[in-house]
Amino acid sequence: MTWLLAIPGLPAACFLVFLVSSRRIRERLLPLPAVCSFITLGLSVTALARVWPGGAEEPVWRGVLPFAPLGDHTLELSMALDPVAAAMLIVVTLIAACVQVYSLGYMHRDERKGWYFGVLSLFTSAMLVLVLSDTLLLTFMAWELMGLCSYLLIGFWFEMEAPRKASMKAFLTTKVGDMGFLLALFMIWSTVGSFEYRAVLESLGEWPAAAAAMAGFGLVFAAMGKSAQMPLHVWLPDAMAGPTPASALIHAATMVAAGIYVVARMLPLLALTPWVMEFVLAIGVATALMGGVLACVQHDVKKVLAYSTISQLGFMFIALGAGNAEVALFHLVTHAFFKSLLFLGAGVIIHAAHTQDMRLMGGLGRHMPITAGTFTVGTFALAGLFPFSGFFSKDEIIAVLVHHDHWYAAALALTASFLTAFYVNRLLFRVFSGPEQGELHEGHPSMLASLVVLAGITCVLGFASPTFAEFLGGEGVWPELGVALPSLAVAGAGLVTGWWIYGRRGVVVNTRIYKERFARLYGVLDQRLHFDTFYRQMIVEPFAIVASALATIDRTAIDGVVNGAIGFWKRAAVVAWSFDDAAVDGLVNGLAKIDVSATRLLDDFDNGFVDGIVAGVGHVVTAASAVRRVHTGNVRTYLIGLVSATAVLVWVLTR
Amino acid sequence: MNGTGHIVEVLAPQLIVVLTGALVLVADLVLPRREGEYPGRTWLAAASVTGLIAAGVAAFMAPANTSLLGGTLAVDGLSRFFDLVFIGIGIAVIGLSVDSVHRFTPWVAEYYALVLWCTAGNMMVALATGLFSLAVFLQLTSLPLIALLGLAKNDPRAREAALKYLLVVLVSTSLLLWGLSLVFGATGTDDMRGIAMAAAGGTLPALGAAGLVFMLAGFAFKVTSVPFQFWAPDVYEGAPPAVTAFLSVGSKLAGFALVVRFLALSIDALDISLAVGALAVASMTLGNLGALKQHNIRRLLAYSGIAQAGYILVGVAASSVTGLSAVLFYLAAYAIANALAFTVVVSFVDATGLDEVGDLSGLARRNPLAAFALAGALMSLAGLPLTVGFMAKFYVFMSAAESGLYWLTLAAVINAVLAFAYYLRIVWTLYVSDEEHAHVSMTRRHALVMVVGALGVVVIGLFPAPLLDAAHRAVTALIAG
Repeated sequence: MTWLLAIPGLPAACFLVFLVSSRRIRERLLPLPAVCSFITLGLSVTALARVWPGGAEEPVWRGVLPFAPLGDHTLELSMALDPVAAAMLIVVTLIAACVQVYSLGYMHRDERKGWYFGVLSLFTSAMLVLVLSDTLLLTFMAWELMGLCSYLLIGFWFEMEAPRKASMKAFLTTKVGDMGFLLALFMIWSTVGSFEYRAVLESLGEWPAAAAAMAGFGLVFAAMGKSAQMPLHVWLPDAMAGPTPASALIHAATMVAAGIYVVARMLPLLALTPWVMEFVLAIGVATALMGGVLACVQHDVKKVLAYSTISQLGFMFIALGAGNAEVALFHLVTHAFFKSLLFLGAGVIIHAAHTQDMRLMGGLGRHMPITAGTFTVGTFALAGLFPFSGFFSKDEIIAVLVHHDHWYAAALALTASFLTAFYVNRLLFRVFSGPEQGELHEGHPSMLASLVVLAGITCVLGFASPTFAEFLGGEGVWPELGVALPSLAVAGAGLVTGWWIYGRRGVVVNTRIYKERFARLYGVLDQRLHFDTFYRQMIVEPFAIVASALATIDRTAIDGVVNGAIGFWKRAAVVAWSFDDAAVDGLVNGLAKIDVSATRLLDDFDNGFVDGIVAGVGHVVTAASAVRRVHTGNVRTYLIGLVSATAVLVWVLTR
Repeated sequence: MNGTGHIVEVLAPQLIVVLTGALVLVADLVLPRREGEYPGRTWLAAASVTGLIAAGVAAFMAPANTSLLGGTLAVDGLSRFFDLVFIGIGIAVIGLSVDSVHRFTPWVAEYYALVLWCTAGNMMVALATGLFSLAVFLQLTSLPLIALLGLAKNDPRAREAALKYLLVVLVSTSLLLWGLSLVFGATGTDDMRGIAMAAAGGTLPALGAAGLVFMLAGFAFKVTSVPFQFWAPDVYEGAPPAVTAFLSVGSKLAGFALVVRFLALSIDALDISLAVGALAVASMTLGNLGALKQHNIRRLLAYSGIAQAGYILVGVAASSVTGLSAVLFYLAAYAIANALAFTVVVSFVDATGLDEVGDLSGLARRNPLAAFALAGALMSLAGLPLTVGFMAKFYVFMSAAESGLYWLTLAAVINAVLAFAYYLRIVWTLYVSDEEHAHVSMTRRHALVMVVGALGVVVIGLFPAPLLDAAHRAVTALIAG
């Protein structure tokens, strides 16, 4: 089954073609990535058929590339096809295909769209490698590569200030999380001596507690960066500065889910340490709530969706923290479809309205019925309404919490779903209802086709819930009324509240009232709970101060020493001149009075020798100006530093 | 076995390099010159490169695993490894200076000869197992560099760099010699393994231990590790760019060749993890923080080089077979990436005379190959996957974790993230610019060096096995033998 390698291979080949070809050739090859993504989709479906009906422990296929020898061990890069991977393959290739087709319409006016399609292909390839990867090492490489692609796509419109800053912020914030990944890798290596998933999971009995805690926490920390969990979530809202279809694929459906995916696969390792699991649960709850609250106060359509993504990723973390990987993965899958649907819909809306600010929208529903209809499907799934997919997956999460007696977490999760339903209705009413506006048009057919496909999946996917769990080797259950009814009631309450504030007939939404009435709260929310302020003041600025201080030492200390040296040489030169005036001239004059012939002799002497001295002094002065560049004093400090450092080392090491 | 013939046979690579240097000088006397024109200078470079390639072939064919001169020189896997690396560096440096040597110095032939002799010195350092041969060969690497730095006698910045380097060499050499004599006095042997044994047995008097630290200072100056790094930014910024390139890879690697051999011979005897680990943390942190706010690309690369020395010391501190193999791999990766970065810098300075980071703005449009090569080199130095630098960092950090030095691994990982900030800033400058700049032209030789370097960064990054295997075999053979 080596043909499976073509699944990540084809998009990678697309990227290489786009990398080496000129802009003109790229323009002609634009449909190539879309064609490739349909082929990979076909291959993924075939792969799924091979794995069906799933439930097996052993992978169906495994390919190994001995990568690097390392003493007695050899580092291997291996891929394996098991049910989890097969399911994720379908999700990634299907959404990638939709996004590629959609982008053909969305990006057709952009000057550098060839580069955009190339990077999108590279990203798809990296994500597919991550899905198929059977060793943590390969996972990490794909993980890093996705980070790079995300950086490139967020900064795609680098002519503007916001994308530039956002791309750097996203890259470095997720890099902070990656430290955890690296540490976990090293911990796993020194404990197990292998990076292979199965080898690690089979060795769990031999793990010392401290090592398991560190490795588990490292992985969680990495996932917090990649999957935008509090407090490392700050990059995701800013990442919306990138092209909208890229946001749909990377910052909603796939890359941000990679953290969940990796943690889900390694969940037994985390479960060795109870406090790590509790930490995951707590982070998930906090993130779900925070994302929900902040999504309620955003005015930018994409930012609402971004905070909503953060909140939903929090729900997945909750499921992981409760110890149920299948449920987390199912929410990952349903969320991937309905959130990419929402982002692609938002793209159509932004194209039509020429703004991302909801306050300037309204009344779009009549002009764009297909977009409005599919978008509503997406929002209802997000709010967790029956029969859309989000209902099933969210219900399962709350059921897991209830079954494991995490009552607080269940209550807080329900609060978060109330908030979700509320901001969903706020979004719908502000964008689509209201008086008609003139001159608005529905999106390009290629864009609408993607929307319709994704909306169709969102409508029916929920009913696959038990099958999905069994396919992954878990236990398939239908929603229980005892959990489903309260959760539906909460969602309904959220929707009604949203309608009451934003959708009632005759209501005029005036945010200024709230702004004045809750000034302090508004300020905190407006500053996104001050996370960015905190990082700026506690981390970025101290580092900048240290770095500037070093730079200052680097320059001023040196210049100071040089100026001092010049002063010294000037004074030396003055002394030399006065010696010349007083002593030599005096001597010459005195001798001149004694004898004329002697004077002549001395004249010669003067011409030859004293001029020599004078010239010599002149050289010294010239040299002094050269000293400014030679930094003699400076070198002296260096050497003193060198010797004293040695002395300190001697003292420290031989004590 | 120890006849002259044998010595010539074993040391053929080094001798070929030395003789090529002499040949270049003689040829300079013979080759014709016309008014201001010196068509022969390209031939001198070609002869130098040919000599280096011949030495590389000889290094492959020379008998392995022998020792010479009463055991003070060892020809083994380690020296073979470094022979090839130094020859590669020599070829790259000559390749990137062909087009600009005559602009900064009238003594073209002397330049090539000095580069060759310095290369020979580097190769000899990798052979030394005795203190006295070591002291001699270290001078053989340092003295040509002083002259090289001073060759650009009309450039005050270069004169300054030469003078500074001279003074630093003098002081660190005196420290080293002092240390050597103390150690010799304390142990009665000049053999590295014997010294390590004496140190391990606890029989080393305090003065001998102090001597070891003085030796460490002598090495640390070569590898620009904190606290012996002061000189690097000034000298890197002032020297002719091609010489800086040579200095930043050749000289640093020679220092590490010594460290690796000394450590491999004393690996069971000495516990240096804590001391070297502390130096590593200090170097990484200071280098990375210093680089954050630099505007001159060469000064920035100097600080980056200090940080890179720190990463390498992480592997040294691990003091295990994995650690030392990782160090060798890292050294090769660093040499390729740094030489590549400097190739672009040399090419850019040749074309424009500018060397600030801001001047590189929009290079991707002004010269796509150069921008791509520099971006690749910097990403490799930063340790991005798919480049050789990723595997290098991964191995080095992993070896520290394997030896239980988790604090060191943590510090290294944090530093690696910090470093991304300034490497990425340069890459960003290359690819993003609002205004239009003139095209930057580039000679074909520079382009060739860039292509080879960029291929090296990517290909070894994707297929690290052969290089890693060679490194691993060199280290295990050394420790076992």
